[in-house]
Amino acid sequence: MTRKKEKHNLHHRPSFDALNCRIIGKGFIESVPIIISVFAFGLIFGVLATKSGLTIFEIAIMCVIVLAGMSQFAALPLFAAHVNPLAIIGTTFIINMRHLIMGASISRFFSSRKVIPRMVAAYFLIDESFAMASAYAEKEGERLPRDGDYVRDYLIGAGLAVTVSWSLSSCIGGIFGNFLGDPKRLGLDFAIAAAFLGLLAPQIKKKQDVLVMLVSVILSVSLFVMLPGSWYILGASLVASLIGAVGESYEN
Amino acid sequence: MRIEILLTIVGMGVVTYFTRVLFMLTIDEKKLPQFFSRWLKFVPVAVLTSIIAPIIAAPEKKLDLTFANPYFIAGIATVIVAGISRNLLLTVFSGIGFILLFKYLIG
Repeated sequence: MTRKKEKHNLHHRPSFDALNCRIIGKGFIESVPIIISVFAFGLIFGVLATKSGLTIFEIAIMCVIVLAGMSQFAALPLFAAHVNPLAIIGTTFIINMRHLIMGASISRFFSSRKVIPRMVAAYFLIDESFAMASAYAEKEGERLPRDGDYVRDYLIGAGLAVTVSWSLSSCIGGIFGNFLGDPKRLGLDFAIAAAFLGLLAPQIKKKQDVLVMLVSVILSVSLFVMLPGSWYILGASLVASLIGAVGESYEN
Repeated sequence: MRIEILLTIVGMGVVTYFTRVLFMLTIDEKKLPQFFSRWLKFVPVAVLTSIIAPIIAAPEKKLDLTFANPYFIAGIATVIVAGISRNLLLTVFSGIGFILLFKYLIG
Protein backbone atom coordinates (compact mmCIF):
# COMPACT_ATOMS: atom_id res chain seq x y z
CA MET A 1 0.00 0.00 0.00
CA THR A 2 1.60 3.26 -1.07
CA ARG A 3 1.44 5.75 1.71
CA LYS A 4 -0.09 9.09 0.79
CA LYS A 5 2.45 11.84 0.20
CA GLU A 6 2.51 13.13 3.73
CA LYS A 7 3.17 16.76 4.40
CA HIS A 8 5.92 15.66 6.70
CA ASN A 9 7.88 17.97 8.86
CA LEU A 10 11.00 18.65 6.75
CA HIS A 11 13.23 17.72 9.67
CA HIS A 12 12.01 14.17 9.55
CA ARG A 13 12.46 13.52 5.83
CA PRO A 14 16.14 12.48 5.76
CA SER A 15 15.85 9.76 8.42
CA PHE A 16 12.63 8.59 6.78
CA ASP A 17 14.31 7.90 3.43
CA ALA A 18 17.79 6.80 4.47
CA LEU A 19 18.88 3.17 4.76
CA ASN A 20 18.65 1.94 8.34
CA CYS A 21 21.42 -0.45 9.39
CA ARG A 22 19.45 -1.83 12.32
CA ILE A 23 16.61 -3.01 10.08
CA ILE A 24 19.07 -4.35 7.50
CA GLY A 25 20.72 -6.32 10.31
CA LYS A 26 17.34 -7.67 11.43
CA GLY A 27 16.60 -8.90 7.89
CA PHE A 28 20.05 -10.47 7.71
CA ILE A 29 19.79 -12.32 11.05
CA GLU A 30 16.25 -13.58 10.50
CA SER A 31 17.29 -15.04 7.13
CA VAL A 32 19.84 -17.41 8.64
CA PRO A 33 17.54 -20.49 8.46
CA ILE A 34 16.82 -19.89 4.80
CA ILE A 35 20.42 -19.26 3.77
CA ILE A 36 21.40 -22.70 5.02
CA SER A 37 19.43 -24.23 2.15
CA VAL A 38 20.84 -21.57 -0.18
CA PHE A 39 24.30 -22.72 0.90
CA ALA A 40 23.58 -26.36 0.00
CA PHE A 41 22.13 -25.24 -3.31
CA GLY A 42 25.22 -23.11 -3.99
CA LEU A 43 27.54 -26.05 -3.34
CA ILE A 44 25.71 -28.05 -6.01
CA PHE A 45 25.78 -25.07 -8.36
CA GLY A 46 29.53 -24.61 -7.91
CA VAL A 47 30.27 -28.28 -8.63
CA LEU A 48 28.12 -28.26 -11.77
CA ALA A 49 29.50 -24.91 -12.93
CA THR A 50 33.06 -26.21 -12.77
CA LYS A 51 31.92 -29.28 -14.68
CA SER A 52 30.34 -27.04 -17.30
CA GLY A 53 33.73 -25.46 -17.93
CA LEU A 54 33.54 -22.27 -15.86
CA THR A 55 36.48 -21.12 -13.74
CA ILE A 56 36.18 -20.22 -10.05
CA PHE A 57 36.60 -16.56 -10.99
CA GLU A 58 33.78 -16.76 -13.53
CA ILE A 59 31.56 -18.55 -11.00
CA ALA A 60 32.19 -15.84 -8.41
CA ILE A 61 31.57 -13.03 -10.91
CA MET A 62 28.35 -14.68 -12.06
CA CYS A 63 27.05 -15.13 -8.51
CA VAL A 64 27.61 -11.47 -7.68
CA ILE A 65 26.47 -9.94 -10.99
CA VAL A 66 23.53 -12.21 -11.88
CA LEU A 67 22.54 -13.40 -8.38
CA ALA A 68 19.62 -15.53 -9.57
CA GLY A 69 20.08 -19.22 -8.88
CA MET A 70 17.49 -20.67 -11.20
CA SER A 71 18.76 -18.84 -14.27
CA GLN A 72 22.39 -19.54 -13.37
CA PHE A 73 21.63 -23.27 -13.21
CA ALA A 74 19.77 -23.09 -16.51
CA ALA A 75 22.73 -21.34 -18.15
CA LEU A 76 25.21 -24.09 -17.26
CA PRO A 77 24.28 -26.62 -19.96
CA LEU A 78 24.24 -23.72 -22.42
CA PHE A 79 27.76 -22.65 -21.45
CA ALA A 80 28.88 -26.27 -21.71
CA ALA A 81 27.36 -26.57 -25.20
CA HIS A 82 28.96 -23.26 -26.32
CA VAL A 83 25.64 -21.93 -27.61
CA ASN A 84 25.11 -18.39 -28.85
CA PRO A 85 25.54 -15.91 -25.94
CA LEU A 86 22.28 -14.26 -26.98
CA ALA A 87 20.45 -17.55 -26.34
CA ILE A 88 21.97 -17.63 -22.82
CA ILE A 89 21.05 -14.00 -22.14
CA GLY A 90 17.56 -14.48 -23.63
CA THR A 91 16.93 -17.57 -21.51
CA THR A 92 18.17 -15.71 -18.42
CA PHE A 93 15.75 -12.89 -19.16
CA ILE A 94 12.71 -15.11 -19.58
CA ILE A 95 13.51 -17.10 -16.43
CA ASN A 96 13.95 -13.92 -14.43
CA MET A 97 10.85 -12.19 -15.74
CA ARG A 98 9.15 -13.30 -12.54
CA HIS A 99 11.15 -10.53 -10.81
CA LEU A 100 8.91 -8.01 -12.57
CA ILE A 101 5.89 -9.13 -10.62
CA MET A 102 7.92 -9.59 -7.44
CA GLY A 103 9.25 -6.02 -7.72
CA ALA A 104 5.78 -4.63 -8.29
CA SER A 105 4.45 -6.69 -5.39
CA ILE A 106 7.01 -5.93 -2.67
CA SER A 107 7.41 -2.22 -3.50
CA ARG A 108 3.76 -1.72 -2.52
CA PHE A 109 5.08 -1.90 1.05
CA PHE A 110 7.89 0.65 0.53
CA SER A 111 7.15 3.98 2.13
CA SER A 112 10.02 6.00 0.66
CA ARG A 113 10.01 7.07 -2.99
CA LYS A 114 13.77 7.76 -3.08
CA VAL A 115 15.28 6.27 -6.24
CA ILE A 116 18.80 5.29 -5.14
CA PRO A 117 17.76 3.16 -2.12
CA ARG A 118 15.13 1.51 -4.31
CA MET A 119 17.81 0.66 -6.86
CA VAL A 120 19.87 -0.90 -4.07
CA ALA A 121 16.83 -2.86 -2.90
CA ALA A 122 16.19 -4.03 -6.49
CA TYR A 123 19.65 -5.61 -6.63
CA PHE A 124 18.72 -7.69 -3.57
CA LEU A 125 15.34 -8.82 -4.92
CA ILE A 126 15.91 -12.60 -4.85
CA ASP A 127 13.32 -15.39 -4.49
CA GLU A 128 14.32 -16.02 -0.87
CA SER A 129 14.64 -12.37 0.23
CA PHE A 130 11.34 -11.59 -1.49
CA ALA A 131 9.69 -14.40 0.46
CA MET A 132 11.21 -13.19 3.74
CA ALA A 133 10.34 -9.51 3.17
CA SER A 134 6.79 -10.35 2.02
CA ALA A 135 6.20 -12.42 5.14
CA TYR A 136 7.63 -9.58 7.27
CA ALA A 137 5.40 -7.01 5.55
CA GLU A 138 2.32 -9.21 5.96
CA LYS A 139 3.05 -9.88 9.62
CA GLU A 140 4.07 -6.41 10.78
CA GLY A 141 2.13 -4.42 8.18
CA GLU A 142 0.35 -1.51 9.79
CA ARG A 143 2.28 -1.66 13.04
CA LEU A 144 5.61 -0.62 11.51
CA PRO A 145 6.79 2.79 12.75
CA ARG A 146 7.29 5.54 10.19
CA ASP A 147 10.82 6.55 11.10
CA GLY A 148 12.28 4.47 8.27
CA ASP A 149 11.41 2.32 5.27
CA TYR A 150 11.25 -0.98 7.15
CA VAL A 151 10.24 -3.43 4.43
CA ARG A 152 12.75 -2.02 1.92
CA ASP A 153 15.61 -2.27 4.40
CA TYR A 154 14.51 -5.71 5.59
CA LEU A 155 14.60 -6.88 1.96
CA ILE A 156 18.13 -5.52 1.60
CA GLY A 157 19.28 -7.32 4.76
CA ALA A 158 17.73 -10.63 3.74
CA GLY A 159 19.14 -10.24 0.22
CA LEU A 160 22.60 -9.50 1.58
CA ALA A 161 22.49 -12.72 3.63
CA VAL A 162 21.45 -14.73 0.57
CA THR A 163 24.14 -13.10 -1.58
CA VAL A 164 26.93 -13.91 0.86
CA SER A 165 25.77 -17.51 1.28
CA TRP A 166 25.19 -18.08 -2.44
CA SER A 167 28.53 -16.65 -3.61
CA LEU A 168 30.59 -18.31 -0.91
CA SER A 169 29.03 -21.76 -1.29
CA SER A 170 29.25 -21.62 -5.10
CA CYS A 171 32.98 -20.93 -4.93
CA ILE A 172 33.50 -23.74 -2.40
CA GLY A 173 31.47 -26.07 -4.63
CA GLY A 174 33.52 -24.93 -7.62
CA ILE A 175 36.74 -25.90 -5.88
CA PHE A 176 35.31 -29.31 -4.92
CA GLY A 177 34.06 -29.80 -8.47
CA ASN A 178 37.64 -30.05 -9.69
CA PHE A 179 38.07 -33.23 -7.64
CA LEU A 180 34.86 -34.95 -8.71
CA GLY A 181 34.37 -37.08 -11.79
CA ASP A 182 32.18 -36.46 -14.83
CA PRO A 183 28.81 -35.19 -13.47
CA LYS A 184 26.87 -36.72 -16.35
CA ARG A 185 28.31 -40.16 -15.57
CA LEU A 186 27.46 -39.72 -11.90
CA GLY A 187 24.01 -38.40 -12.82
CA LEU A 188 24.71 -35.08 -11.13
CA ASP A 189 23.03 -33.23 -14.00
CA PHE A 190 19.86 -34.68 -12.51
CA ALA A 191 20.49 -32.65 -9.34
CA ILE A 192 19.27 -29.55 -11.20
CA ALA A 193 16.02 -31.26 -12.11
CA ALA A 194 15.60 -32.43 -8.50
CA ALA A 195 16.28 -28.94 -7.13
CA PHE A 196 13.78 -27.39 -9.51
CA LEU A 197 11.18 -30.03 -8.65
CA GLY A 198 11.65 -29.04 -5.01
CA LEU A 199 11.09 -25.36 -5.89
CA LEU A 200 8.19 -26.19 -8.20
CA ALA A 201 6.05 -28.43 -5.98
CA PRO A 202 4.88 -25.77 -3.46
CA GLN A 203 3.85 -23.51 -6.36
CA ILE A 204 1.27 -25.94 -7.76
CA LYS A 205 -1.95 -24.85 -6.09
CA LYS A 206 -4.70 -24.41 -8.67
CA LYS A 207 -5.88 -26.29 -11.72
CA GLN A 208 -4.38 -23.62 -14.01
CA ASP A 209 -0.99 -24.43 -12.50
CA VAL A 210 -1.47 -28.06 -13.52
CA LEU A 211 -2.53 -26.94 -17.01
CA VAL A 212 0.58 -24.76 -17.36
CA MET A 213 2.72 -27.67 -16.18
CA LEU A 214 1.22 -30.12 -18.68
CA VAL A 215 1.59 -27.69 -21.59
CA SER A 216 5.17 -26.95 -20.54
CA VAL A 217 6.05 -30.65 -20.40
CA ILE A 218 4.66 -31.37 -23.87
CA LEU A 219 6.08 -28.25 -25.53
CA SER A 220 9.52 -28.29 -23.90
CA VAL A 221 10.15 -31.97 -24.63
CA SER A 222 8.89 -31.63 -28.24
CA LEU A 223 10.98 -28.51 -28.91
CA PHE A 224 14.01 -30.01 -27.18
CA VAL A 225 13.88 -33.16 -29.27
CA MET A 226 13.10 -31.42 -32.58
CA LEU A 227 15.14 -28.22 -32.51
CA PRO A 228 18.87 -27.64 -32.14
CA GLY A 229 20.08 -25.18 -29.51
CA SER A 230 18.42 -24.22 -26.26
CA TRP A 231 15.51 -22.00 -27.16
CA TYR A 232 13.11 -24.68 -25.91
CA ILE A 233 12.95 -23.20 -22.39
CA LEU A 234 12.10 -19.76 -23.72
CA GLY A 235 9.58 -20.97 -26.30
CA ALA A 236 7.78 -23.50 -24.12
CA SER A 237 7.54 -21.31 -21.02
CA LEU A 238 6.28 -18.25 -22.92
CA VAL A 239 3.47 -20.19 -24.60
CA ALA A 240 2.55 -22.24 -21.51
CA SER A 241 2.36 -19.24 -19.18
CA LEU A 242 0.24 -17.34 -21.72
CA ILE A 243 -2.14 -20.31 -21.96
CA GLY A 244 -2.41 -20.31 -18.16
CA ALA A 245 -3.26 -16.61 -18.14
CA VAL A 246 -5.83 -17.02 -20.93
CA GLY A 247 -7.36 -19.97 -19.07
CA GLU A 248 -7.69 -17.95 -15.88
CA SER A 249 -9.14 -14.94 -17.69
CA TYR A 250 -11.64 -17.18 -19.43
CA GLU A 251 -12.78 -18.62 -16.13
CA ASN A 252 -13.38 -15.27 -14.45
CA MET B 1 40.74 -14.42 -19.49
CA ARG B 2 37.84 -15.47 -21.67
CA ILE B 3 36.22 -12.23 -22.65
CA GLU B 4 33.19 -13.75 -24.38
CA ILE B 5 32.16 -15.65 -21.24
CA LEU B 6 32.61 -12.56 -19.10
CA LEU B 7 30.53 -10.47 -21.50
CA THR B 8 27.82 -13.14 -21.51
CA ILE B 9 27.75 -13.06 -17.70
CA VAL B 10 27.54 -9.26 -17.70
CA GLY B 11 24.68 -9.47 -20.23
CA MET B 12 22.88 -11.97 -17.98
CA GLY B 13 23.37 -9.57 -15.07
CA VAL B 14 22.08 -6.55 -16.99
CA VAL B 15 18.84 -8.22 -18.14
CA THR B 16 18.32 -9.70 -14.66
CA TYR B 17 18.77 -6.36 -12.92
CA PHE B 18 16.40 -4.80 -15.43
CA THR B 19 13.65 -7.26 -14.41
CA ARG B 20 14.29 -6.46 -10.76
CA VAL B 21 14.37 -2.68 -10.93
CA LEU B 22 11.78 -1.85 -13.60
CA PHE B 23 8.51 -2.12 -11.70
CA MET B 24 10.10 -1.22 -8.40
CA LEU B 25 10.77 2.23 -9.85
CA THR B 26 7.74 2.64 -12.07
CA ILE B 27 4.44 1.05 -11.15
CA ASP B 28 2.77 -0.84 -8.37
CA GLU B 29 0.85 -4.06 -8.72
CA LYS B 30 -2.61 -2.59 -8.60
CA LYS B 31 -2.03 -0.50 -11.70
CA LEU B 32 -0.79 -3.42 -13.82
CA PRO B 33 -3.16 -4.65 -16.52
CA GLN B 34 -4.81 -7.70 -15.02
CA PHE B 35 -3.88 -10.00 -17.88
CA PHE B 36 -0.21 -9.06 -17.52
CA SER B 37 -0.05 -9.90 -13.82
CA ARG B 38 -1.87 -13.17 -14.49
CA TRP B 39 0.65 -14.03 -17.18
CA LEU B 40 3.66 -13.20 -14.98
CA LYS B 41 2.20 -15.29 -12.18
CA PHE B 42 2.46 -18.44 -14.31
CA VAL B 43 6.00 -17.77 -15.52
CA PRO B 44 7.87 -19.54 -12.67
CA VAL B 45 5.85 -22.76 -13.00
CA ALA B 46 6.23 -22.75 -16.81
CA VAL B 47 9.97 -22.09 -16.71
CA LEU B 48 10.77 -24.65 -14.02
CA THR B 49 8.75 -27.34 -15.79
CA SER B 50 10.34 -26.56 -19.16
CA ILE B 51 13.80 -27.03 -17.69
CA ILE B 52 12.98 -30.23 -15.82
CA ALA B 53 10.89 -32.17 -18.37
CA PRO B 54 13.52 -32.62 -21.15
CA ILE B 55 16.18 -33.69 -18.61
CA ILE B 56 13.88 -36.47 -17.43
CA ALA B 57 12.09 -37.47 -20.64
CA ALA B 58 14.89 -37.08 -23.19
CA PRO B 59 18.33 -37.15 -21.54
CA GLU B 60 20.02 -38.15 -24.80
CA LYS B 61 18.01 -35.60 -26.82
CA LYS B 62 15.51 -38.21 -27.97
CA LEU B 63 12.30 -39.20 -26.21
CA ASP B 64 12.86 -42.19 -23.91
CA LEU B 65 9.96 -43.07 -21.60
CA THR B 66 11.15 -46.57 -20.77
CA PHE B 67 12.60 -48.25 -17.71
CA ALA B 68 15.95 -48.31 -19.52
CA ASN B 69 16.15 -44.56 -18.87
CA PRO B 70 17.37 -43.99 -15.29
CA TYR B 71 16.51 -40.26 -15.50
CA PHE B 72 12.90 -41.17 -16.22
CA ILE B 73 12.55 -43.55 -13.27
CA ALA B 74 14.46 -41.27 -10.88
CA GLY B 75 12.35 -38.39 -12.19
CA ILE B 76 9.08 -40.11 -11.35
CA ALA B 77 10.37 -41.07 -7.89
CA THR B 78 11.54 -37.48 -7.24
CA VAL B 79 8.23 -36.01 -8.45
CA ILE B 80 6.48 -38.17 -5.86
CA VAL B 81 8.83 -37.05 -3.07
CA ALA B 82 8.50 -33.39 -4.13
CA GLY B 83 4.70 -33.60 -4.32
CA ILE B 84 4.31 -35.21 -0.92
CA SER B 85 7.06 -33.48 1.07
CA ARG B 86 7.03 -30.06 -0.64
CA ASN B 87 10.47 -29.66 0.89
CA LEU B 88 13.40 -28.36 -1.18
CA LEU B 89 16.32 -30.01 0.59
CA LEU B 90 14.61 -33.37 0.99
CA THR B 91 13.71 -33.35 -2.71
CA VAL B 92 17.25 -32.48 -3.81
CA PHE B 93 18.93 -35.13 -1.72
CA SER B 94 16.43 -37.89 -2.44
CA GLY B 95 16.69 -36.98 -6.13
CA ILE B 96 20.46 -37.39 -6.07
CA GLY B 97 19.99 -40.66 -4.18
CA PHE B 98 17.49 -41.96 -6.75
CA ILE B 99 19.66 -41.12 -9.78
CA LEU B 100 22.75 -42.71 -8.22
CA LEU B 101 20.71 -45.82 -7.40
CA PHE B 102 19.06 -46.21 -10.80
CA LYS B 103 22.22 -45.35 -12.72
CA TYR B 104 23.93 -48.10 -10.73
CA LEU B 105 21.11 -50.60 -11.32
CA ILE B 106 20.48 -49.83 -14.99
CA GLY B 107 23.91 -48.59 -16.03
